[in-house]
Amino acid sequence: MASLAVYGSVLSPFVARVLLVCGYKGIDCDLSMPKDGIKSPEFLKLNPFGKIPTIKDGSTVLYESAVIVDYLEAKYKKKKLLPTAAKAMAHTRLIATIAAEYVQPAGLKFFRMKRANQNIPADIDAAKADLEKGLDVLEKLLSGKKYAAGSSVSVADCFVVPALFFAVHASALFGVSDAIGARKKTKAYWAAMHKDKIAGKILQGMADRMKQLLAG
Amino acid sequence: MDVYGMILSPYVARVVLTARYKGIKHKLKMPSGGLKSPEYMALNPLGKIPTIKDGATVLYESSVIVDYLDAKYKKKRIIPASAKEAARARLLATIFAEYVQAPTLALMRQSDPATRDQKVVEEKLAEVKRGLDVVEKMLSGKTWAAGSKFTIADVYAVPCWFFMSALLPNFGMADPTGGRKKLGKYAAKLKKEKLTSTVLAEMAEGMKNFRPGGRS
Repeated sequence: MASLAVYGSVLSPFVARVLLVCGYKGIDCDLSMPKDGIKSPEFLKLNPFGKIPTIKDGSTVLYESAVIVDYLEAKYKKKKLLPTAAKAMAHTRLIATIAAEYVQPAGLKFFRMKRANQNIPADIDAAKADLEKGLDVLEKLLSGKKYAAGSSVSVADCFVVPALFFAVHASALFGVSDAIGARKKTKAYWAAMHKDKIAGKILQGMADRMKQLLAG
Repeated sequence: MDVYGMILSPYVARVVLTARYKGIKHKLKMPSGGLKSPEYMALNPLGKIPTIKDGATVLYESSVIVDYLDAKYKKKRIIPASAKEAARARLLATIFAEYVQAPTLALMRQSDPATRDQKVVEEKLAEVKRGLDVVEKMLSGKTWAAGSKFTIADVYAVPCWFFMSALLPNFGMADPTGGRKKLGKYAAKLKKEKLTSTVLAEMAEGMKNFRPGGRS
């Protein structure tokens, strides 16, 4: 069977979600940037919004990371990343959504400000406040067990890991030395995920790429 | 089940549509002490609507709630069983939410022609039109957005259509469908079907009574 084509780059937290799902489910995937760029006519045919990630799985073309994650979970039934019980599933999705909507955007804001060479104190303070708020809610929801939603890996981890990467590393670019701070569950989780074989590899890839980009 | 919120919120409307379609008994109400009261923040630390209380299960974030309801109440599923069909329906829902509704709602702040930023207006209108072009391509052309059955795509499309029809005419789009055929037919359907027309009418009523800043 031909492997799954994933268009994108590992530093995109949206792409990283898909790569983590593939990693944990053991789906063979091939990561590449669209060769003529994301706004090329060829790529716009696959994704009219010209964004990454986009996937091609046989004749199925999809975009929007959350949609892709649910698709892979429904299609590749080995190693489930979502519990079957409605309540447990919802809790897993809630952690993923909080990471995606309230932690990651604040982290990305720092990264974009850095890339654009912006140093507006009010914007920096706003990003810091957003980040604190998102991390507080995440701390409340984390299971305190090995993985975000419990003792086994789930979709929640695939969203939390890239979100925390930006929360920690992009805020550091603006002098935040320890974004996670005294949040115990988050701290233990973050340390553990660096030792996790699959997440650890993605985190390393993201860190390398960020360093490269910022070095010019 | 208690649903906290008001129907004018597009996020709440998604939950109400899901519950009504599936025949889940529920009560819609605003939290008595306001969104930022300690009692309500204990349910939802973000202090937002919707939040649901279904027995001992408390959940927030509309997308999480919609998936929960569909998994728990198995009659009349709104997420198709096949991975590919589910992904199509979810993708269409996401496009309505992120690429049409989001830029449409961003126009709300530009409502006053005296203080309007014409550049922002043009950007947002262009985004809406691009989103609608993709919607037009993806609409099934059958009874409902994703096919002959009501799905999660319709749950997202209805509130999106409400805000399109309420706001876009103020910005020169007298016909918010822009003459797109499948979209025009679909919008007519939403205005005719009992479930969807009722929600649209309730949202219109909510808008009439809405006083920005008049609530806690």
